Amino acid sequence: MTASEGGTVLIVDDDREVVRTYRRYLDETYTIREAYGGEAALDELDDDDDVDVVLLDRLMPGPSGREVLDRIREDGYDVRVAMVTAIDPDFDIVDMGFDDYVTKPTTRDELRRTVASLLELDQHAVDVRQYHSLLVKAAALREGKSTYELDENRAYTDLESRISDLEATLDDEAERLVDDSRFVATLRAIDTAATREDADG
Amino acid sequence: MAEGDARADCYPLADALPVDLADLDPGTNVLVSGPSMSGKRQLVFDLLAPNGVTADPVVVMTTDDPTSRIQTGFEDRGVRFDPTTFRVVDATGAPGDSEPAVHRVSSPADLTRMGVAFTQAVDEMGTPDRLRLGFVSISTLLQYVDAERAFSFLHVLSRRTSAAGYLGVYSIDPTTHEDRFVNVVTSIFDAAIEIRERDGDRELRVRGPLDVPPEWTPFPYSRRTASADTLPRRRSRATASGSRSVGSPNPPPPGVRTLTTSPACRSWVDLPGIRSASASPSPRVK
Repeated sequence: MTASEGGTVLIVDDDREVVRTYRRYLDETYTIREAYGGEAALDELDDDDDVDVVLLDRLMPGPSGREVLDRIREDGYDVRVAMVTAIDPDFDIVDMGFDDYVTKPTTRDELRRTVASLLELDQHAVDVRQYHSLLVKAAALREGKSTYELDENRAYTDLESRISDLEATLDDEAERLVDDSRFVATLRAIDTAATREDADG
Repeated sequence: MAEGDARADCYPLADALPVDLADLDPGTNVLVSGPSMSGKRQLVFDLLAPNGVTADPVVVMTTDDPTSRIQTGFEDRGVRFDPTTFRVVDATGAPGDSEPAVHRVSSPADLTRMGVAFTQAVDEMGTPDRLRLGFVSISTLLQYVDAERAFSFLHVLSRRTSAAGYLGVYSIDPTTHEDRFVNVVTSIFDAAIEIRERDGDRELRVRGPLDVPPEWTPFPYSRRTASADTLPRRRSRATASGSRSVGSPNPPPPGVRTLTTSPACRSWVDLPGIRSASASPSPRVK
């Protein structure tokens, strides 16, 4: 994830005109990758570790969006996936493994909103991990030290203030977890991040 | 959701605890901590379905006890195993028949599926305004996923139920984990109920709520069958909001968070240095 650069979006659609349009909607904010089919999309994910969000056309020649999604999940890629579909999904997107969906034809605003929302929940998962890591550090510093020593310890007080800031950020996000698909997508982001670390390590 | 006045009422606890803690705010998350065979499962069940209290909808997520054991535990408390008001997310991996009240997940390692099963359970109960979620147990979860993933999962789940105004009750056996992990995971919760054994007698203390002294209190094993006389007398509670003049402040466990919403039922310990609202860090009780 390259937050400072806005993140990387992989656009997958067999219709080049659609890909071009989405690129125009997004490329001022995000780094764009393109694939004109399911296999090409998976190749792109293999080649490029930076992809954060996949916009995946549901109906394509070759492997369908659904099949590509299944491969993405099985292989444990740490990406958020929005399905792009010509019709309102008549199925439970939570159950199918998509993180969000976009209905064709989409607007610039809708597409940008969807990508931003997926990157935010990705960030939420990163923030929770970071929060955990800071709490572990603070707990380690506390061990064997008196309250006075801790208050005098600059590293500890800095840590406490970072913990406090992060906690406020996480609390601000909590209300949005009531949305089922966002809640599940956040858990999936937690799941896949760990899977990849396990695979790397 | 959860706009102050529209919040659901408090969650009564009746006589589930031997201390003067009669109710909890909507959105509260409680950790029940005790060694194995200390009766913490019973206590979790008591907090989810207290004696003589109108039953709230309940979801129990289990990585530990098979559904049958949970079912028996609740039937003993007079709770009907009815899918409109009671559901189990069973992630033990134990085989079982398809039942409307049971959502099976193949392994606690699949955090996403556990989340999906929870949302399905809540949706199929009609997304009630009130709900008590039990989670047994954090210790078993730790056998399947690393500490970071377990923490993240518990954080996200507890914040989700909190935002919905639900009550969450989670159990842990602290003797099976490093102190550091227990301290860190405790910081997810608003209150910790600790159980310990001393010379064969059981004691309990509550940390977190401002108006409950964090003193070890006898908690006999036989209390459910004990006569009313042997139980500590309860005084009726009329918690005036803003009344914070309490004799002995109750220090939270290291890192216990304070409730983020304005307390409807209780006053909560301010933890200096954690909440951004507190300007100057003051000594942490250790």
